[in-house]
Amino acid sequence: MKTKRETIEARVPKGEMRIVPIVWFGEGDRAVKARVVLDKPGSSAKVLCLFFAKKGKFDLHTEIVHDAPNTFSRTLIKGVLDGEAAADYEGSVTINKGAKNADADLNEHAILLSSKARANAIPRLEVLENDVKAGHGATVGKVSDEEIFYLETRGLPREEAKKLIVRGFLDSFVNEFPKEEAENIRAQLPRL
Amino acid sequence: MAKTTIAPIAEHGRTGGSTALPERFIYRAKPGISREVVETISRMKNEPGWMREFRLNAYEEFVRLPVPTWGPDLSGLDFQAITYYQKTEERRYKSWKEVPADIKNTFEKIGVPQAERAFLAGVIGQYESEGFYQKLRGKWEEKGVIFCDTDTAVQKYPEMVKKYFMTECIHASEHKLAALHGAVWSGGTFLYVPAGVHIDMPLQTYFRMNARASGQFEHTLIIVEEGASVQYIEGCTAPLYHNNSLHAAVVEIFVKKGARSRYTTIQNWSKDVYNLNTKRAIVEEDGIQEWVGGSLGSKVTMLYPCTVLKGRGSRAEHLNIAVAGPGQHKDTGAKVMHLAPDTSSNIVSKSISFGGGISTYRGLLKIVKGAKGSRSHVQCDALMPDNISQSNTIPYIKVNEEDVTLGHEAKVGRISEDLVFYLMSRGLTEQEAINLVVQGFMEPIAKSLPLEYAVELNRLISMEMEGSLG
Repeated sequence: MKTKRETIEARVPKGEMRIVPIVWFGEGDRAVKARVVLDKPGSSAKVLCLFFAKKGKFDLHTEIVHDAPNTFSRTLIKGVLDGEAAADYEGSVTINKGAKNADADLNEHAILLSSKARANAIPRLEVLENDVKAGHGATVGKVSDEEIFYLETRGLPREEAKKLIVRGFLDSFVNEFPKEEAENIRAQLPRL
Repeated sequence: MAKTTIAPIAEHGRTGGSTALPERFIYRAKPGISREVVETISRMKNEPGWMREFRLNAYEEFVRLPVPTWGPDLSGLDFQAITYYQKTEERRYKSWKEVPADIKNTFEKIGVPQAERAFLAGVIGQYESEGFYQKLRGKWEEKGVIFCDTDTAVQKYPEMVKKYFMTECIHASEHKLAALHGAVWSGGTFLYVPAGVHIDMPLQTYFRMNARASGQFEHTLIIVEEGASVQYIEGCTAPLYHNNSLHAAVVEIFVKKGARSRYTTIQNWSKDVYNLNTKRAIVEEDGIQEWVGGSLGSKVTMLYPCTVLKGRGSRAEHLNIAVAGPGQHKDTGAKVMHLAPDTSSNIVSKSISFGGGISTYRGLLKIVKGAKGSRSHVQCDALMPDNISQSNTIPYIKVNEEDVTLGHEAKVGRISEDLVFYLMSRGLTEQEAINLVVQGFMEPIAKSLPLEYAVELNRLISMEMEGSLG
């Protein structure tokens, strides 16, 4: 059965910054679409998404449209998938003509911890203005053997080392969230 | 050795601006596609029954399948206005001396005979629908290498063609253009490298589409047996007529265990050509497939060379540069399927959009379950020197295996004013400075080309962009 998609829409006033936080802990299937239109000069937005899950399916769409000069956006997705959890991500950034000096970056990083977890990503960058900075990056992979080995040489058991690295991967990101979400995430993290 | 000037991709310079010669043919199908046209092509080629059947089945698929709508606008393409088959010569020539003067002149301007003398192991020339010239140096013939046009291969090596032709790698039922290709294909290259043979000089085929509102549908089939290696180069041009023409080629490559193949193509079609190709390689254990591509000219290009990494430890390298100028839409990219453990792929895509051109990187990276220890890296860089163009990046990433390393990065930007200013302060003109920056941008691709091609590519791109930068 298809999960009903929640939609989040944001418009940002001139010169202001908006954060759109999204979190998922695998409590059930979830589908979210977040759309931010930056049509006022100097407006900026951060779409932040953090997820970790052992089961369930997460379907995330993000869309940012730069439609005014000096607009700034960051889309940052970080997630850890274990068990049979699956994540489908579609992210788009459009910089329309006239959005001079726009600065956009779209990044997603996923760690897969089990052989049954899976992650799909379709990032999309559409740029119609040249006086801009636009970048995109993605990584998908497991926890690096070298990092685990290093911690093992320091006396940590393998499982402990792995956990620590995953925590580190997410922890650094938690502080970017608004206070309420950050607390919520910290409360959930020990479940990892 | 006499010094030769080789201009393998440009004729008198500017892309697609080459002069049209009088049209030449001894048989020409009437425009449009029908069962009858397909049957006529097969009859003219005196093909065996199985190939005729294959064509007719593909035609049925063509009728059934819809025109793809997920990419660039193809509504300007009228399948019934195109001439699908045009035969110019009765036979294949073995020496340039036998080649009729008008064709010979065209190819001399492009520099093909000169290049053959200087650095190639073999050459095929194709004019309109069929090959007219083929030559492989005797040394390689003795070792059992086969290098001829695909029509000749159907007659001389039917068993091999029957085994590999659109059976395993690319199927006619995949999409409308693959089906069309299957129905009306003509010409192309058949290259067979026996096990353990390393051909140390490149082989080249040159395609020239000269007729108005015509189509070229060459089929290239490359089989590299165990432990063998080969480098194959394709060049393409056509003059400008302001009638929409179609180029729908299929390239199928089989890289067997421990073999290595490099496929290099520089396409410089005129700006009225729809260039819609399907290219794929299947790579077995420890094999390596490299794709080096330069996409210049044409009106619309859709091209996503695909590597299927089927055997453990196989590897794919994709290097591509696309240049989209005024009125052009380049939708290009790379597809890699990791189907086995320890496979690796590296994709570098560069694009330049200027003068209102649109360039899109559309790629697919798929890692299936069980492809443990696979690694992939994708890098897309886009340059937009002016402010009326468009650059898109759409990399699809599908990962069903946890034990993988995958990275993707994309950057879109303009030519840095600081860089240009610095170079100008060292005495370069603005145009020279811009050219230098663009050359630096393309360097990873250019350095993988044979020197003559790299020089030509740089020259072409700077000419294309000249005066269009404000």
